[in-house]
Amino acid sequence: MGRLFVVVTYQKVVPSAILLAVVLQPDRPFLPRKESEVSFTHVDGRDVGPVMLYALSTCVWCRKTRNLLEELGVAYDYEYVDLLVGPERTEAMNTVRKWNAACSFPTLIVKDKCIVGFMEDQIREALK
Amino acid sequence: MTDDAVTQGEIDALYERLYKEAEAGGYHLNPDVEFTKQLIRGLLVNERRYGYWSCPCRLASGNKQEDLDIICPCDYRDPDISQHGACYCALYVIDAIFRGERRAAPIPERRPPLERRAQAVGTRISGFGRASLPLPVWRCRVCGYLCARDGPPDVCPVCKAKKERFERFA
Repeated sequence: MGRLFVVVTYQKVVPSAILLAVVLQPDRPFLPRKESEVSFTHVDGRDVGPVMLYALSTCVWCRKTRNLLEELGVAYDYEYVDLLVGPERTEAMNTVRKWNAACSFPTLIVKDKCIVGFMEDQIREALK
Repeated sequence: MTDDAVTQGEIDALYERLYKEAEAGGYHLNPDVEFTKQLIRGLLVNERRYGYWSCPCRLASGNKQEDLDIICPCDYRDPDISQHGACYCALYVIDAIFRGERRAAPIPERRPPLERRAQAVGTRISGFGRASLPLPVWRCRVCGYLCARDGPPDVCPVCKAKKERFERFA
């Protein structure tokens, strides 16, 4: 499920140029996907259960949130919604809307809890 | 990706320009230069993507008419600065933050969801005259600058006159 797995699998069969394209464009992999499947990028770390971050690639508060997650060393998945198009974006936004009616970013979902915005204390508390 | 085409030189140049314009207009850029330049990078990325400076911290639709209210400086900047001390992305901040007395913090999203935004536009264009205006109009007695918002700005963006120089116009 992690991209790492995909890359490792393909390493044996695809030329390095294509492999490089996968690595350099993690948000737009050339690999076919199920249409209804939003493709999260996985970041390895300490397992604290599901941690999903809906973010924008241009947003500095989203960047701060990712930096905090990485400082905390937790495993998480993120999606840059601004890089999605068509049904993938619609599906991601439908999920965000369920948790956060304002549909703002970052929207961080930790198990069954949603944290909207770079709320550092709340994020630290939720990921203890 | 076009994101990679944004150069540090472009970011620095736009930072200088926005800094000067903000100061000339009675606004302040966030004094955290690294943070601010990341936001400016986001503006330039969005300019490449959409053709306009959509807020880097909001999801643009790519349809300019739909995104007009979040083109920087956005429709929500002034009320957010008044209420929270900074605009939504924190590119623009109040004096206390500019001087380092306070830090910019995340603020709630003021932009209404899509369906309520459409209604708001309908209200705005439905009538004219004091009774039907959605916001009071304030006039700078020094230079005649007019603005429609809940209260007058702290400083006139045109002539730098202070808040007390504004009168209710409509």
